[in-house]
Amino acid sequence: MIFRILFPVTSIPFLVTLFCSMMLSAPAQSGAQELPSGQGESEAVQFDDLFSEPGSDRVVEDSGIDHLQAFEETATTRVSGSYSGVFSLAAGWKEWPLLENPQIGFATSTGFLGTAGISVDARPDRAFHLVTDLSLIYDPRSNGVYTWDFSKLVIADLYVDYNLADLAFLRFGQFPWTSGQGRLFMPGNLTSDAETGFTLRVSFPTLLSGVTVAALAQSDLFGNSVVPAWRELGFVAGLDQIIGPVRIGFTGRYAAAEGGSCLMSVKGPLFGTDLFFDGLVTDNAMGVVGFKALGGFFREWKNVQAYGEYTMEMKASPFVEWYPGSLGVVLLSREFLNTPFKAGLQWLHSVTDGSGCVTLGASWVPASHVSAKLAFPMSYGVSGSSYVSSSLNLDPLKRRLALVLMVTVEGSI
Amino acid sequence: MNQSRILFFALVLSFILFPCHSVDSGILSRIDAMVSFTDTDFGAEYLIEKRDPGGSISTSKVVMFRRDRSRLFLVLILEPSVDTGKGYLKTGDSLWLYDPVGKSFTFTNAKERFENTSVRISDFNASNYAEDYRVVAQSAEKLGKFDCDVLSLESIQDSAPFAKVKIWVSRENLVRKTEDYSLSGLLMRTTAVPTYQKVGGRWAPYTVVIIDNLKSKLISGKVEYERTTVTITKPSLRVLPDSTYSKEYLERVAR
Repeated sequence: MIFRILFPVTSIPFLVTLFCSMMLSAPAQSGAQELPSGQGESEAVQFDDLFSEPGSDRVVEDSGIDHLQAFEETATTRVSGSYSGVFSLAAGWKEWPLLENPQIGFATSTGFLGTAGISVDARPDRAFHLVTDLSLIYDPRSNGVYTWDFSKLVIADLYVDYNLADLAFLRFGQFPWTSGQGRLFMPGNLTSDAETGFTLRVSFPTLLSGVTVAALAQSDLFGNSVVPAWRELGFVAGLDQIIGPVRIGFTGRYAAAEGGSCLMSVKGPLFGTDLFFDGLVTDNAMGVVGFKALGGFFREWKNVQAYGEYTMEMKASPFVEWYPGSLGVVLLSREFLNTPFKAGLQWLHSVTDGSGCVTLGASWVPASHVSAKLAFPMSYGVSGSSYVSSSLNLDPLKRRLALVLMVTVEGSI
Repeated sequence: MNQSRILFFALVLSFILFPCHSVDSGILSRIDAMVSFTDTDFGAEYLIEKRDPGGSISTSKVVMFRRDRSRLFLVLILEPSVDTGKGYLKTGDSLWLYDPVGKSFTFTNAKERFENTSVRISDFNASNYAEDYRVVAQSAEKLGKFDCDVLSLESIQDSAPFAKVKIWVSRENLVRKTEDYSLSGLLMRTTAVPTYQKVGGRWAPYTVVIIDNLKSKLISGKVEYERTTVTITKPSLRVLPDSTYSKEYLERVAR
């Protein structure tokens, strides 16, 4: 996955989301420094010394070790805890600063977000696996307003896995589940509510390149959530097939309350670049047909990764209307100019209203358990446009221009 | 007449001075056969130690499972703890990555490096020289204690990891050293396999040392390259369920 975009709903989120969306989850790559040929001869000679006294090739017994056991079965229940504290400082202007009076529209803000988590992972045998992952979040503000609500409990995972003779993997409970290929824009994510409801999912790993069926239950789907009926459940079916270097996937979803959706995903390489496409057709409970499309690319060089997405939408209600959609591009350098900094540039643009946001960011690790991030987001567009005034401007104060520093202290046992 | 004699002696002299090995077209198949486990699965623990130019060292431990007859492999990361649960599933030419933090899969053909080391994803593949390359030159060379054939190879498949490769092959048909080149002839990576281990009648590397020729720094006037050492232990030929090589399995065992 390229981007890990988190959307906490509290005051820090502007800072947290900014950086989380900037920084890749993929491993770092160091920069390359090419040298004139011949300068490396000394090490090349040492390299060949490896063959002077290499020791003999050996004949070994098949260890017969079941390496899978280390992942599938544990003698004890693993209980772990984690804590993180995020401190932030942001300063910037709600409108473009005026040179003659730069104080107009200038605003500063600080924030703190504390998260304490506990997780339980039990694998008593190969068939059964229990996961519980709970977090308690401390945030004095909500949407930029001090509410002093310190009691937000978040269930990240609460599920059981059951392995049916290696033919079917069952998972039931509450767990994150993502469909679709978008990471900046996610029109094809038909299973996002598995995170908040109860889901029974059955996967058949050896059918095609993976076949999955699921039933989802959550209050929004039921006419009367006190007396839910099974006919009102959400039903999902998906399959993947890999043909040569191309992946083709289909996911369908139906719920009586929301109608049906069908997603087709295609991804494959062209001249060393991954290209992908999601096409989503929806027919909602009112009979309105819509179409959403997402296209994108990913390319990796020695020290730079580039990622982009474009999404658009069509609705037929009753006339066909096209919405030009949004564009997003991200560039990331894993080692910026031979420094310990990772650096990134993200550009999000709404073609519909001409607004957008350009963010420059850098992150580094100054000490053990401590990470620091610095960002410079700049929103453009007319007042009231999506990236200036709506929730797409992640800053609760809706600043157009800001400098943000965020320091995270975290640890786990 | 004199010209013909001169030409004849020149030819004889050139053969004496520049002995030319005939290209052995079957050698690539023999190399592949030595290190391929076609009748069973192959699993092992890989300790990967990377030394950056300048000295900082990072270590990771992974478990790798390979099914050569189906061109499948699965790599699960054990250490460092921050990456535990990350997984790589290779099916044919394509790769599934599982990120346990984001709990999402990525399907890609564009990723080449394994976890920020000089190890390439393709290094976990079954040896496939015979299908990916053709021999364009062959000579003999002594490499330390090994008498080697040196083969210059050019790719014949788009999916070949490198455009040009030079390999040193010892008398046992084991590749001892590799130089990987770009299409323009730039040396990108040098790999040594000083020791092998034989298990179940086939061979697997025991130690592998990789120098990334594109990542170097001048340290105290001396060139240092990024260097990755891989030690492969606990080889196992246990046959695994088919479901092991699936993205659903990656998700199930991730922590």
